[in-house]
Amino acid sequence: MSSGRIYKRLTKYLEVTRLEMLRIITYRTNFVAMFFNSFVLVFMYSYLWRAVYANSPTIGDLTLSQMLTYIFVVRAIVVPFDNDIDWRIAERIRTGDIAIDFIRPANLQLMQFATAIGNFVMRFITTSVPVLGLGAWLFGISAPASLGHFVLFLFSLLLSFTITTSINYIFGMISFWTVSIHGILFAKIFVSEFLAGAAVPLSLFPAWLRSLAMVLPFQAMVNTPLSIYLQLTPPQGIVHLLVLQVFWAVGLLGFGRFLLHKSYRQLEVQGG
Amino acid sequence: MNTRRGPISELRLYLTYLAQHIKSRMSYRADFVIANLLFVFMAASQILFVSLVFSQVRQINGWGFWEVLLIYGLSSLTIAVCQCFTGIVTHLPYMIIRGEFDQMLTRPVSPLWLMMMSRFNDRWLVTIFIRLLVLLIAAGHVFSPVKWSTIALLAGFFVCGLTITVAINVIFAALAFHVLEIRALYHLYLGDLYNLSYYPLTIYGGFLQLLLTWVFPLAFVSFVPISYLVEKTSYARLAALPPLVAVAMVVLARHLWRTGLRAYESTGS
Repeated sequence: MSSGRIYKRLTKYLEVTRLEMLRIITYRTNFVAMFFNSFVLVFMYSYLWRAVYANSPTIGDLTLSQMLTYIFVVRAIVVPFDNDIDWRIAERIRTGDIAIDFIRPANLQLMQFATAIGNFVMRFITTSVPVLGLGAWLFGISAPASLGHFVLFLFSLLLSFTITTSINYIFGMISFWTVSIHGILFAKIFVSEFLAGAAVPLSLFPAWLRSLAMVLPFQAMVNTPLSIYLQLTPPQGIVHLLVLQVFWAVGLLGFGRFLLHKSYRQLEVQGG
Repeated sequence: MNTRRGPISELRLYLTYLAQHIKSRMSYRADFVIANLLFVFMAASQILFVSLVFSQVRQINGWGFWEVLLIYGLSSLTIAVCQCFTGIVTHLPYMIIRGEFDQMLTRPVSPLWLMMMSRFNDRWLVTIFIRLLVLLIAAGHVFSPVKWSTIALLAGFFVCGLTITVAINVIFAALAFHVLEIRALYHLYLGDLYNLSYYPLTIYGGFLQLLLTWVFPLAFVSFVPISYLVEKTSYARLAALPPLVAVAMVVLARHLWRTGLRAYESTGS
């Protein structure tokens, strides 16, 4: 395949990304709201944890600085990974517009990823950067342990993003086979609301909850990159976590692709 | 424009509407269950968070686990009841945009009451029970033995807090007459600012404490009453204020609503 053809194939998806970024920009009040939302939340947690740490230098193997860093990085970077493509796909399936997406000369799964990337980049620029900046300035969040750790952290974030988007994509696609997807999508919100609401490092979880969390991809999405950043695990542990993450990422991508092909069939059967 | 009805017949009217509404809503069983579950999970994660924190320490700023849960219980119960019955009020901007509001002005009941009657937000029902439970259990642990005077005071403070939160809702709705985009600030208040009132006020810096006491008087909903009842912190001294603040908020809300409504009606739509 010549480089020209590859470029041509890529521009399609870049266009989707660009459109998504434009779409986010038009919701101006939404930005400000998102920023203030993260801002007030981290403020609250900072004060709370400072009061908690008043009499103990470490809690759950983390110092105050590490705990604050954890909270900040999760709110500023990991939470914006989540997006609403599951709802959008479900809606397009419901209205039948999904057929148009299938006719397009582009892979639906890749298009969703392009959308997700655009979504995240925009939110990162408008929300994450200011929140992180404020965090560093006001609350003294700590920098990663070393350059090597930082690079691995970024790699882990990439996997985390892939996993989150894959999960959303898969949930969206499931509505091909269910009558009403809303219950399932809400269920997904429950779980992420629950886990994000109890957004504390896993070391604070009681043993039974920790084993449950380790089974779900949650720990691959949040716990792994943060553990690397804060150097909560020794090098062998890092390798183990990364391998697990790669496993989740590849597995979910593959399953997503499988669902896409099955959905072509489903559409034919329905005579769409 | 509005025929004046006595409060008793208004209440009877309200109860009739309510009964009808519950019957029609129950037919949307699945939707009801899901929405309720979502709020339950939200409440559960909040309680889980507090439990996780207290699994590691004995006290925060001098406040023990059950005391913090007591603060959370009273504050979260108040907003849950408030949103259940008056959450609809803040949909005013949407109703104006969709032109639904104008028909409300033609009914024989004041539009504010009509809005509250027409949408009983049942998604909050289960959460209300859970938070009530948390409140009662926490109270049982904190006040042992539990005296009748304590219960009476708690109930009284709850009513004050409820009045304050309802008034804040109405104020936001009234402001929507002038500035439609006020809803962003409202979501910030409801989602984030209100969350702050779940924890002891004294952990926050001075600015936040002032904000939550004198700008958005959320401190009077839960923290001041509880401070008084467990006799902690200087905020206990403000214990006489909740009723006064409630009255002041109602007066403010009524005024803003009336002016907003008049301004809206006079634009000849």
